[in-house]
Amino acid sequence: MNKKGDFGYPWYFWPSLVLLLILLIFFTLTFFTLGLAKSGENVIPQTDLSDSITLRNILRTEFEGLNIADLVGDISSDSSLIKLKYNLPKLLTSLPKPDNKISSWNFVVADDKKEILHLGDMFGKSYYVQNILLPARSKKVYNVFLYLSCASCGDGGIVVKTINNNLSPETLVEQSKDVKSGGLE
Amino acid sequence: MNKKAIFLPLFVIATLVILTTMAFTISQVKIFRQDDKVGVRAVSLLKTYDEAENDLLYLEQSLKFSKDSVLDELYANGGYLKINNCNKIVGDDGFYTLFDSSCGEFSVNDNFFNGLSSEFSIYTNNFKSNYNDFKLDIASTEWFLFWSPGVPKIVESERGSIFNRVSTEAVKNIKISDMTNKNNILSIVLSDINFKVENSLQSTYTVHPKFEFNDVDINFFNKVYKLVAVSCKNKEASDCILKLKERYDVIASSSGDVVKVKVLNNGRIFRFAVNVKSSFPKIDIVNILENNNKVCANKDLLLSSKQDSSMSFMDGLKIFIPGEAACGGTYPVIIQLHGLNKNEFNVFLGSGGRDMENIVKQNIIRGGYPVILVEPVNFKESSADLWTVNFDYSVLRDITEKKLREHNINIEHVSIIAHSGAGCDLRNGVYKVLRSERNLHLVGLEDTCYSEAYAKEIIRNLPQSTFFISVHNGEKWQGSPRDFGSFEEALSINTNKEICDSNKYNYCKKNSDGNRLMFYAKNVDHYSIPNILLSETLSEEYALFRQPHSVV
Repeated sequence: MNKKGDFGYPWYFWPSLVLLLILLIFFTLTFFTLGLAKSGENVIPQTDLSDSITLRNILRTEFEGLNIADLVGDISSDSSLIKLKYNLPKLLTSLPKPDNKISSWNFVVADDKKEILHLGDMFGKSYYVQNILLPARSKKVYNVFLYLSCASCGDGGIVVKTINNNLSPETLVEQSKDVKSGGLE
Repeated sequence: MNKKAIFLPLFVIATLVILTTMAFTISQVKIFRQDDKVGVRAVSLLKTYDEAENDLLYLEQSLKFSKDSVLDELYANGGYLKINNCNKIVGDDGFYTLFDSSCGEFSVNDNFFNGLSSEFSIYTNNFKSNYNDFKLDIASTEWFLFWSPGVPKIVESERGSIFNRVSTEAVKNIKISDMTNKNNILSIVLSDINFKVENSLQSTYTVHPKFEFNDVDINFFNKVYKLVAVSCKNKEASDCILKLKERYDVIASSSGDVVKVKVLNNGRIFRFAVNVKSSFPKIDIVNILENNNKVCANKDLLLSSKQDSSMSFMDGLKIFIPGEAACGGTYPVIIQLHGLNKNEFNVFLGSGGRDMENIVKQNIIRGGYPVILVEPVNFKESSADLWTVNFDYSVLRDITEKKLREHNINIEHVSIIAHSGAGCDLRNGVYKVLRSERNLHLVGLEDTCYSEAYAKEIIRNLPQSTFFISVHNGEKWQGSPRDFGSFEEALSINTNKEICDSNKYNYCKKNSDGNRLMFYAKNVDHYSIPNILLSETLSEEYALFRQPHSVV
């Protein structure tokens, strides 16, 4: 026993040291491994930004006094289905697409997760997914989707082709907003 | 224990306290600021707006389909909804709803509104929003909650769907709050929708939905039934069919007194049957008058104006609008031309006049249609000067139209009635009007000049289908032609009318089509004839279903 110690030394030194180590390990885990001390993202992620403007514009587009929403609501009739299959592809091909990528806009009408109409080609992942509920004449509710299927597009950026279509200027403005809101190039 | 040796245990305890406090404070801040990222509020607003626009599209389409469905139902069931009390008649091509008193009160506006509300509620109940709530960092949130026991936990099933459910409920609770149908435009106002803005609980985005649909004429049913009431009740079935075919594109067949009718209108077929000898349903006059579901209780109006530059050919103009029409709508107009007049401003209407307003009001109380009376005033003492060169019917009509439009009233059609000197010069007065206007609904002559020449002028200018009525007192006028026989003969008015009050008339005659009538009034002076003719006109042409009812 030296002059700085006493007879109780072994009884409080080691437990205190062990407790200190436990505390340090626990809080190290809490602050650094579990991320309590880590400051979160300050800017909202781009995945939270989405709207359905393009799909709404398509659904409100009129052909011969009926809009696409009317035709979708009446899709169980052959005449409406034929009109949709004839008119919609023209609209879809006029939407802006990424440059130098294999891609296609897809328009899907689903009844309780079962597809009843699918226009457009599937090439890969889906981008700019837009979804709207539409009532049908039969009182059912259809889920209508619009998305860009692209073979080699990355989340990092899609270069949009020059717009070449017959849509109204308002539609184009809304579309350009739409592309920007996706946070892509 | 050595007093310096207490340092280590104290150090451990202090470390525990400091680190625990730090962890608690950081977790509190993180939980309450987890949505306080740059752009969260802006994106929340955009998402709410987007959700509202999507919902409005859903509601618009729902109303469109509901409206079509209810119209199909009304057309197929004689203006009633599918479930009604009417008797049915089986035809070769399905059943026909028999329009008689078993149906109960007829109010097509109420039927349409009730049907629309019911159909629309099916769509709103089926609605399920696809709004995606912001995704929380759930794993770390759980861990942070360990340090913040006071913060309420989100139930697992509610995660990511709270605002989705709020939006769904908002649409499910929507009701139709108002509906009007004017000028073939159906306007529907829905109750307000309040969308809660995510991450900003005090903020609400409120939408006042109003939708308009073109080419919807609910009043079509009322017009058809009005024609049926006038042309079919107590008439022969064949006459009824002829009258209906004159006005509409009709396919009809009869079996005894029962007429089965199909009226083609805007691509739909209105089917009903009517027994010409049985009673008709009581009609909801308020809805017919208003043409929507609002109750009108305005007062009678008498518009009066003296001569101004816009009406140089007359010395004044008076218009009587019964209260039942004063809220606006589409109503028939009767123009009454007076005879020779030195300087009397109130000939038929207004204080000291012949009280014609009361005749219109009495007819409405008996169930008749409200008509608007127009009385132009012209101070002239000779037929040769009265309603002469400067008299321009089109200007008179334009002025009338303009004044009525100030009260939201449109003209359904115009009739013209001439008294005395207004019908005694083939160049002027009513004959001038006949030459310039081919679309008159009715022409009336009140104790004026009669001869073959006048009759031929009427035949020359009046379409065969136009209603003609005349009342005279049979007296001779010195110097003026009053040859009733040749007048009636030229107009083929040669059959006695079935119903004729012998206390009032010496005779009541008609032509074979029943649209030209001639009354010879008993013991009535020249100046009282206009009142008699107006009464007969209203009961012949502007009676609805001829059942007494109260008017609001």
